[in-house]
Amino acid sequence: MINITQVVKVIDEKCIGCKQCDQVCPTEAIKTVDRLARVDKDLCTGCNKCIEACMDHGAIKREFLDAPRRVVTDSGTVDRSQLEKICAAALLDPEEAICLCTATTAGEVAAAILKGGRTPEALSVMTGVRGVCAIWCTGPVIRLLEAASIKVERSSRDWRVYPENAGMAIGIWNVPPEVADKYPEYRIRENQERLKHGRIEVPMFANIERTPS
Amino acid sequence: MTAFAPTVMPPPIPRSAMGYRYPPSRAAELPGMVSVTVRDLFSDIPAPLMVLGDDTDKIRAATVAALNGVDLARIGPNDSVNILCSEHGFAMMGGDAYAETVRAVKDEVERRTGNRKLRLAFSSATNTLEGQEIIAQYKLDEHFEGRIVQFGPYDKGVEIQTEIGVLYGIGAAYKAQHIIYVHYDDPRETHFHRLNGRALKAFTMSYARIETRGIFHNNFPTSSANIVPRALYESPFVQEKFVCAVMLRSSPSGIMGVDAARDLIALDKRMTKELLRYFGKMIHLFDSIDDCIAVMDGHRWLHYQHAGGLTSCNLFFGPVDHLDLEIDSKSPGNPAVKAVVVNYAWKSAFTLKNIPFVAAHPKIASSLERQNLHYKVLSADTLEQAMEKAYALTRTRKVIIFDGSYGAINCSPELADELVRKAPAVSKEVDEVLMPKWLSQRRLT
Repeated sequence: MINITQVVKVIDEKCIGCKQCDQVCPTEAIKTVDRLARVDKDLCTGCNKCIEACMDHGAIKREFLDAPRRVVTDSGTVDRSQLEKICAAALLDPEEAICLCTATTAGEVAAAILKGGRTPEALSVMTGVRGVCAIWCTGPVIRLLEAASIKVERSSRDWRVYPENAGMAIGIWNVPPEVADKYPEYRIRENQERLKHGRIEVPMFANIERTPS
Repeated sequence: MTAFAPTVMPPPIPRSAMGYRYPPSRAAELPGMVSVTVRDLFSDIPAPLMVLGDDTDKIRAATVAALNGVDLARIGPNDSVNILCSEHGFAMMGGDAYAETVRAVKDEVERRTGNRKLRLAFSSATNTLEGQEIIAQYKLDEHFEGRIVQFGPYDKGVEIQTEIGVLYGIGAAYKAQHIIYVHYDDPRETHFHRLNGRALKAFTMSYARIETRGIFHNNFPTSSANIVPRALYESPFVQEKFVCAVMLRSSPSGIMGVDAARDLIALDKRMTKELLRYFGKMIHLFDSIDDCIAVMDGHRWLHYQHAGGLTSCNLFFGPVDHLDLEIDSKSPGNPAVKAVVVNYAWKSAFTLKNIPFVAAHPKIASSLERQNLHYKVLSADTLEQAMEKAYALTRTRKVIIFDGSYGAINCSPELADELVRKAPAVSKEVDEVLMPKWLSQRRLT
């Protein structure tokens, strides 16, 4: 869930059509067509990444909304068992926030997946996740998509998201034994064993839930 | 109550587009506030090499001396070299020491190798506006004659094969034949790195893509997470480029010096021992505070502002002993922090659920509320009014000011009294119980 209080607007005469803004928008709200950036204000979360990307040209500015726009997917409107199944496969508690900035929960993102969200961008539009900094929540979003058997694919020229290994592929649950033994100072085997029997608590971020048997 | 010294003047706040409304006055100027020096609390913390206001010549000399022990022969005069530096280092004691370390590394490497094309690779924490401001403030663009590349966490990535799988660095950081890692030891966020590989963490943050940063925080418990930067550091891709690390060293009392090494793991072990020794007592003293109001009045992100050389996040996420690797480091927020008064900070969506915020101006309040659904923000017109609201709300007069100070803690006399009273017992417990345990857990005995 996110309360959107500002969006962005393009100053046409300053836009050079370089598409730098397209490459950072978490919701695909800004797209360059015919060498001019265009904003769909209904999709914009006001994260300001495009403003930053355009700093050299100053073609994008903030525009405050008269009234905040709330974006939320109601997790009570989907099959609860399906929602829990996705979260469990992603090793996430449905009630825990996976996005520090918006406090969007794993359950809300799972609900959005069950309602048809198939990409990180679509889930951002539906729930607000990744709608502010997008730094640490992108991984859990991909974990949830993978848990729902949805593969995120990107061309090598698209660096909005690097989906390979961003989800479940690398984690405490699957560090190779030889690596665990090579670096005993990181207590990997010990934590892998703990995870078999219960959740591991993580500060600020969502806890890692027990590996499903 | 004991008579305490007047407040010390903290580092100045440069104007920044990242910040809330520029403060008309500093918290250290609040009537009745006092200071307690770090060495009055813990006399065994050594005197620093540099304190705020000192000439940075000492830092330059320490950097050159540290580099004397490092072989730079692999850098040819026409090779491409990136000097990696990170925004957070400029948060330490006003930033002058880190800026001078960066400049001195450039000059010394240039002198010894004949390479006139050294480039500064500047990592911003969240967005490149930070870099623009800092580069101008410390005149780094002049020093590097414009050879600066800036990047943030969303920039184009580079695939790095590691022992745990493919991770993604920031392409621009690694786009050189050689890298020199100029870093700092500020033990902010002990709840994440646990001082168990702290020197390596930037490989998975400052110089990594968002996905790799997420793996560190979301996919590993904190006592294991440093395998991620370690895997990046040990990768053939990084090792082929890695010339050396140059590390700015600090303690609660100030800047201690500069260390450098080809072997970052060996440097990390040296650094960790000293960080535990220098900062362990201050961290534990913060954990012992019964109740307080935290006043944020520094020139950086709210949770990375210093008091007595220690960042506020060490207080906010206490009173858990994050240095004890046997426990999970989860803290819902320190119940001793009864309120947070914001006079100045860089804007960030930092979450402190259940702790009321009091803004020293309505514009700060509206900005805090816009950023985060969970802040409980009270608004005042001035810092003095904000303090009165915080006193009424919390019924405590114990105030700690996070304003960037090293060497001393600006605070209310009531808190100074508590700190001075508790420090001897804290010191004894760290020396006799905690330090042996921390060292043993890290195989540093």
